[in-house]
Amino acid sequence: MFKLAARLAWRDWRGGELSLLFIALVLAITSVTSISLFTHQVKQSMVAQGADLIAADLRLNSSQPVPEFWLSKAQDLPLQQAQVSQFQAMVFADQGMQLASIKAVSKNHPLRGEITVGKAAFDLGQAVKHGPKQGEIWPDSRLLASLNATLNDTIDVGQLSLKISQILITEPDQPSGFASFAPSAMINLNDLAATEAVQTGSRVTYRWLLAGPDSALNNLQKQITPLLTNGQKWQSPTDGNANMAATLDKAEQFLLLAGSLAVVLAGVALSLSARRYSLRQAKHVALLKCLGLKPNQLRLLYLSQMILLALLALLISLPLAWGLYQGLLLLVVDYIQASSMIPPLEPFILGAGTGTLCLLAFVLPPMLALAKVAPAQVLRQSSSQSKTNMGHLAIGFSAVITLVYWHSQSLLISSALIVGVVIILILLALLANLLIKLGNKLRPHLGQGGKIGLANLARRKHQNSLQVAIFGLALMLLFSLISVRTFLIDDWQQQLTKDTPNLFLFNIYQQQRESLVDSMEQQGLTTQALTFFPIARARLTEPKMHNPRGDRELNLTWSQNLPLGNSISEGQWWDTSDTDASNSPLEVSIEIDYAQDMGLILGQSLTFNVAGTQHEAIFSNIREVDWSSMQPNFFFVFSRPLVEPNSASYMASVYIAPQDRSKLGPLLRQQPTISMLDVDQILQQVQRVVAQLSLAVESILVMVLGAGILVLVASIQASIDERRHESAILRTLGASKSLIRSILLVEYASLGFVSGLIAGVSAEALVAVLQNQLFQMPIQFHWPLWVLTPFTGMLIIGACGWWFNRTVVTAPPLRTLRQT
Amino acid sequence: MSYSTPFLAAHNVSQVVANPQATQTNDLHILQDVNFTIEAGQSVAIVGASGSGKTTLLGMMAGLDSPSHGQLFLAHKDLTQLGEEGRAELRKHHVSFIFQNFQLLPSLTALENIMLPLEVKGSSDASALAHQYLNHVGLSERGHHYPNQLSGGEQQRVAIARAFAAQAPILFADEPTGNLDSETGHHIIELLFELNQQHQTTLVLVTHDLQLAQRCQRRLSLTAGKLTELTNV
Repeated sequence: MFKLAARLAWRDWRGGELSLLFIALVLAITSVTSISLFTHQVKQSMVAQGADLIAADLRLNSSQPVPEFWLSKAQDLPLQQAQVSQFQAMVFADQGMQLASIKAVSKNHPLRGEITVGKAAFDLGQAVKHGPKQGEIWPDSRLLASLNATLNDTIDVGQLSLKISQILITEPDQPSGFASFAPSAMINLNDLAATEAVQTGSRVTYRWLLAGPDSALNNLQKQITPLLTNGQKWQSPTDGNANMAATLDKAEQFLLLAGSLAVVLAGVALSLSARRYSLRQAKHVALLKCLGLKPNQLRLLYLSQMILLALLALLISLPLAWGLYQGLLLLVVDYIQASSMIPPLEPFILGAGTGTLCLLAFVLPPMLALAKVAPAQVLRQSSSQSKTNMGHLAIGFSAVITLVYWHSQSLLISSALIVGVVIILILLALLANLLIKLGNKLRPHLGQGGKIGLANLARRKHQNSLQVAIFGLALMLLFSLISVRTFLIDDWQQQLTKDTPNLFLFNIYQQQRESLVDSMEQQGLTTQALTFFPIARARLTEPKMHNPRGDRELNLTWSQNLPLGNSISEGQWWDTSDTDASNSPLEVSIEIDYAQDMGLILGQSLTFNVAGTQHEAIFSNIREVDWSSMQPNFFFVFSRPLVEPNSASYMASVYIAPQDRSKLGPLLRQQPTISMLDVDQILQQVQRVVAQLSLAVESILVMVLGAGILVLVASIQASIDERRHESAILRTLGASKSLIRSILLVEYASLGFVSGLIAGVSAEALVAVLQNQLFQMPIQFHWPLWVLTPFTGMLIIGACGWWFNRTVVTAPPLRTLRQT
Repeated sequence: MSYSTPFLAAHNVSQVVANPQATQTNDLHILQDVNFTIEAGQSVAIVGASGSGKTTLLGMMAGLDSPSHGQLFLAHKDLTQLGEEGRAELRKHHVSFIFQNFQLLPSLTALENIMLPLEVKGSSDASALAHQYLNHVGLSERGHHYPNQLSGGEQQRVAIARAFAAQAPILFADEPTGNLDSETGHHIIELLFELNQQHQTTLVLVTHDLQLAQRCQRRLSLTAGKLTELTNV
């Protein structure tokens, strides 16, 4: 039986009967596998980029030295490791002294990423993979400027004199918190003891850097975590940067969504192709039954054929997916770091599993049902018509749910997509029915081709409604994906406009504000966007917090106006006309997550300790803060100043263009008491990630578009036999080729218009749900979608219909009539 | 070998279907109490006007369909006692067909179409036998052509070759010249009877062509679902 099945399958293949089914299967496996491979690689690359930010795959931050036996455990696993000890100390040079943050690094530092060093302050520098040798020091540009030192000078750290061999421009694990804004220098860990700068009771931050395979890292983390004390905390690459984490999270959701859409589209294409194939096979089956094949033999025959088809599809798809993935990698080579040439197994399993499940759910049921075809059908002239089998629909639908969930691992994506698709399919079919009826009324005003075309549409009302629903579904998913991609990329780029602040200045006192602006202007730096924020450190003392977060000191500010990028989620911003009145009660605005974590209630009276003074304030509103905006953000904003204006300290943020960075050295010399936090490297990192993700999103979109087009083709092919027969009859009745072409064009363009119109409206609804629920973004309406989609649908489906039906016009009518 | 059951027969066979017109309540009687017996090696024509139920009766005799009432015998087996699997097994070894619309598979060449019943039977020399029958019907040069590259007459010749290559003792032919012009139809009939003569096959032929029916040893007429034997045509 297997031999007969192989022979018949080969003959069907040769005759083109299996082509569309096979292409749909190959596309399902290829798209799912390559999207999954690519998503996996993007994730790996993101983690690698994050790893650059912490200089390791995993890091332990500790307030005490890392015990020796932990180090031996890591060595046994084996994992690469490095150590960093960071502390503050006064450093001395010939022409100055400065409190600096000293980072003593071991030989292997950094495990991930690179250090950039230069020969002058704020130089562009060059990348190196190691820290300073023993006897050397690498001061950063700010320290060099404040010490008025140059290359080859000597800096004293404690008891040790160290030679400046390089200027530290950037380092992978640059501190990003506002607390660590002192100028810094890097020395070799082996020199630490000789400096005698660290004594019992010194405040030192220890960092244990680890790199290696995930399994070994997880193993070590599992063993060490129970032994951690209060001052010890793990840090993973994604913990580092809120902006990067938010961007990554959205990108991952998009890739998962796109992959799930590819699965749904491939499933629909397979289902349509299988339906057409089974319809065309009905007569074959009837004949084979006449020749004596039993129903079970026929089931075995089709099962064998499908197994053969699946094996062949796998053989072709998996290497194709690998090739496609390599091609995608080539496209994004500047942005994505390929982590390894050995591909992970999971995407291939996912792809092969998707193909097999698609085949079992969409193709096999109609094939096995062929065994029920009555053999007496060979005696009848009529062509076979299959009714929609609800059982097959249920199997296919269950498979789609399983596949989408398997692929996305997200209940939200799966349920939103499935419920959305079902509702939309029903609405599409109903609306299509209505619009086809309306189109009927246009008929008297059209030419001959238009009249017959619209008459054909109305005659096959139910079939066309289904076709519109399928076209509409494919178009809707594609339009939605394009919209999601557009708003995501726009959102990412808006976060990081060209003039996003990349430099934060601290320890500015009231009287220094004007002189800072003057110094900046003298240096030719722009001061237009310079914004000053008063800051103070405060601790919430009443009510007492049992949450460790509530016991910490946090930065606060006071302002009459709601800070840029913040929004009030509950309560009201204070009346600005009253804020200066000293008799009005002090009010405080608190960031939403903090307020929820601490269980604070709006209207509650809270007591804060600010520089030893207790302040009682009414909790008057809750603020939502965009932490990914790279703008100064605060947990607490008060309605009026908490310290005397003359003793208040300010921070400022400003954007410094790359060509102006060399002016920072002289500026710091003029303003030696002001501290500076340079976040340019972090910003650049985020911008790289955004560029990389945008490209990834676009590449995936192209693949999903391929799946969508295949659905359109499968749907067109499903009705091509009937159209070919009708065209042959019309031609024998004297219709010209051009008349038949215009009939086809009217039919498909009308179907495309109706599908596009409905798809545009449905896409808007789906995108709104996704924006609101999945991406937690405000809903935006895209009116151009409503106008463009009907015409895009008309163009795409009209063109596809015309192209795939061109043989309907050119095939000799006699041959067509003989075949039916 | 003697059998207690007839070779090919119908006993009080009726076929009733529900009336497709919703307004009509009475069922349609396609066949009413049909009775006949056909001996091995006989050639029998079933004649009647279009819609008289000829093709339905042929389908039932070949075990392609089941009657509403009555008994049918094929190759000494009671078809009404057999399930679908049993009827398929019976067809594989005892029955072959020629159809009005040829029923050649469009994705198979002429030669492959002839090989098909032999492959279904598991024959080891399907290709050689198919070539031999292709020669018999005078199409040895057209073996690699697809059905749509053949004329109607050629397609029916391939169908005849396929029917005889199966080497089944009973041949059912449904309007074998119905889709052909009279001259081609004449050639096809000559070929059909020539091969039938050579193979000593039992031939049951459905036709509305009285001239063709006269070539058969017996003629049965079906009118309004009732079968009668014609003695003189």
